[in-house]
Amino acid sequence: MAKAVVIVTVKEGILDPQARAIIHAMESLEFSDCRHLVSGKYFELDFPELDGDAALQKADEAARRILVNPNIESYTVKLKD
Amino acid sequence: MKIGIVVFPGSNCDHDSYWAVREVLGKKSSFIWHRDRELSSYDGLILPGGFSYGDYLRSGAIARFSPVMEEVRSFADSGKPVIGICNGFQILTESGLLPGALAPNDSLKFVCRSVQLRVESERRPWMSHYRRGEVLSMPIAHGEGRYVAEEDVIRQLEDEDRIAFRYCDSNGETSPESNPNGSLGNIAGILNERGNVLGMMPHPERVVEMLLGGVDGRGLFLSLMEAIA
Repeated sequence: MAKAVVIVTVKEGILDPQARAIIHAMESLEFSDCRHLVSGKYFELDFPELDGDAALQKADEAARRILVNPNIESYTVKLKD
Repeated sequence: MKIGIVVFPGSNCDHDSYWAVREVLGKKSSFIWHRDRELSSYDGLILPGGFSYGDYLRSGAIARFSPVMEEVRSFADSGKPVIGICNGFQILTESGLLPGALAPNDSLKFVCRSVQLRVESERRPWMSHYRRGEVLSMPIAHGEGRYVAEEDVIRQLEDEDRIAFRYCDSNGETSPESNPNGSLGNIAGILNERGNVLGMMPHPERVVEMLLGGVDGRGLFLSLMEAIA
């Protein structure tokens, strides 16, 4: 069995107003040394019947077909420890 | 002549569209449940606004997998008119029938008010009752309406007369102040290559009679009627 994790973030170059709002709030909380922040979505996909490689492949396919909109988002896929 | 209005779980402008087509323009119209696949009796389709599937994941991202969408694609590919309004536009971009995407508004706020639009195209079947440069007033109501696309896509849309509307001020000037959601190039609506598929964030079906506060949306429906008459 394997669990895969898909992390989806706003693509570089695309305005992320949520990240902008968070970083403004962080500045007022004395985290002003943080200059850049990327926000995103986290998905955990459980494949009880698959081994690691197959689970990664499936998760990647799911990312491409539904979890991610490649026009505005990028993603990474990895196995959950 | 019969216009179909596709209803997804969470659509909420379906009845407004029905009213516009049936009661105001006096044409046949009926609802198509998202599980139906039979579209052969229709001459045009409306994908109405709303919050299909609660906007889960991304607006329009789940509705694009509804059974009816395969048929909507064939319908559009055959050259018949399809319009996606607000959530309908989001569904059309998610399904790849129109390029680009609709990202959360730059203000992060749900914006619900009337805006000015500049007509950018006079193409059939949707735009022939408008004149290029004409300024219209239509309501918007969305949280995810910021049109985003790669630079070369925007250029292609401009070169191919595929921008339908831009947000503008009352003089027809586009500016950051008249842009309600941060859309690239103030883009409010776009066409596919053939011009038969239109996606737009503003709501033309809400301005089809004076009782509703305006008639600037009528042109779209009149253009459609003329094209399929």
